[in-house]
Amino acid sequence: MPHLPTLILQIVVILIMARGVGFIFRRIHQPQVVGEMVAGILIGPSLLGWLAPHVSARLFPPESLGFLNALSQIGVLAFMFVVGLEINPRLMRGRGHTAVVISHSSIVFPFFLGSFLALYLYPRLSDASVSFTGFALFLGIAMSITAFPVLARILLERGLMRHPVGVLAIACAAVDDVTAWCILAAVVLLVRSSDQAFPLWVTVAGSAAFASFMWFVMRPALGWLERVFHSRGRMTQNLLALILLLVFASAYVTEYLGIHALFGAFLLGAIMPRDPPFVKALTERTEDLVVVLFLPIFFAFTGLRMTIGVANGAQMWLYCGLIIVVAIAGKLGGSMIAARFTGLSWRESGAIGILMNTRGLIQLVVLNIGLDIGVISPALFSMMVIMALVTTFMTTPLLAWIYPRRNFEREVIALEKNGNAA
Amino acid sequence: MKVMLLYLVLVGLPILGVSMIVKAGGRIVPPISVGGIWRLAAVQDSSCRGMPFPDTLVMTVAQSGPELIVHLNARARPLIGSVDGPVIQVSDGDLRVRGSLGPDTSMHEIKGTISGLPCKDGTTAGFTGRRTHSAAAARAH
Repeated sequence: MPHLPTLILQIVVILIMARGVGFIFRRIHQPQVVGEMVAGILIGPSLLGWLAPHVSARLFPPESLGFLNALSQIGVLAFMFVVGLEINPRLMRGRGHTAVVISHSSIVFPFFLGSFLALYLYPRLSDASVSFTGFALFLGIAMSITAFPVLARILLERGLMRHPVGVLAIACAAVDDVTAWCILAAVVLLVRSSDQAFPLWVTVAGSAAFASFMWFVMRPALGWLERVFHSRGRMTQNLLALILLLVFASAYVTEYLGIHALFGAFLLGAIMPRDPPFVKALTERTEDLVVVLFLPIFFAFTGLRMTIGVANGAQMWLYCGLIIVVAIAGKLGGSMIAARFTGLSWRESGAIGILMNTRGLIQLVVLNIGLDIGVISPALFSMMVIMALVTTFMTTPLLAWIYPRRNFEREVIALEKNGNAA
Repeated sequence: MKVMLLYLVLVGLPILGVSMIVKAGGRIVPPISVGGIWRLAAVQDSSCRGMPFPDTLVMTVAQSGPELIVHLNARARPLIGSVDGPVIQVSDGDLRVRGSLGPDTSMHEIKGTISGLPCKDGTTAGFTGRRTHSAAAARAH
């Protein structure tokens, strides 16, 4: 049984820190979520544990972390469902080819650079329990992630959703999300194949059968939920309970098959009906508790797993710098070059690159999977978390620099005028 | 047609590069794996008699390449060190642990010495131990 007072105290500290640091970050024009991610690190061993090891050990004793982990996992499951839910295939309409080329380049280019970096980092940050193939492929995909939800919020906050660059970026991020999670599932399958209950072919065939079932059987069947929603006129508790049951059932199947529970939750979100009032009602009912309570717990748990600065400081920071440079060159550079080749101007291409370089909390989810399955070491995990923070933090100021608000507002007005005239 | 060509160049070439990297990386030799949970027991003929060595000393090793962060039982401060071949050495001030990993290739056994705090007169205590959980299992544990 969890020691309830300790758990309550932990949640209180986490919420205060998350809201407090989030507020400060909003004041410096950063998304609240970036502040919450930083808050998670501040209460981990990297700061609190370093400044006051006894306070840290008393507040977060190792035996209590299992309960915190369980809470954060449930929260991330619900969050991944919402991420899947927010992906709208209509965004692709009319720009499918361009979005696919930019998106796939923005995955493959950092994937290549990440794998290349693995040649250097493997003997320095990994060990013989991990194969080079698993290490390189995971590092590659971890470099390739774009945080669709954070990107959507940045675009909304800056009013860029009305601009073609913003619309193209969100379409690319949607393709990116689906593709990256498919590749990640394959990489996780490969890494975990040695300690699976089933032979690899059973897991692969089972996953394919499950995905087909979800797409061809479950997706049409889910239309019934939409009809019930409209007949009742609101998202009833029974309907919400049924949807949550489906989320957990789907998560259970993918975990049982040996990929990861998060894929099941994401998949169910991605195949839900796209009727806007239904999606809006469902998102509103699930998102608030997830964003306000569970995600800060997840960030705190992530922060508690970080060990940077504990061992061999200078050398580790050097590796960390290298990872950040490669991640930015791969994602920002890859997307920018691909966008330029598809006919956008340098400024628009730069904006696409900056936006696609936003990794945010999706990166943290991926990294936690990597640490759980043992493919990345604690130090590499810490460095990648810092990389995720840096790349997310730099998005807003870089975007403001390359695309000042007055410029894109002028462009939006001109585009809208042309549209009206036409 | 132009989009297809672009796709082939921008996506196909890096994928080819990744496959070459994976092939080349197969020859790299990483440090041996020592991460996970080890249970240590004192050796009877230890030179540090009467020391407060608990019946089962639990050593949790977090490994990042050759760098190690080791927690002994519930001690708040970790011991820092490295693995060099089959030998691990970690320390924190006076407390030092040195161990050689087992003769078998699985490296699940260790024998070595602890010196420092448990032995007030500066002598060392011998120990033997076994790895009970791998690094990934230890995280789940």
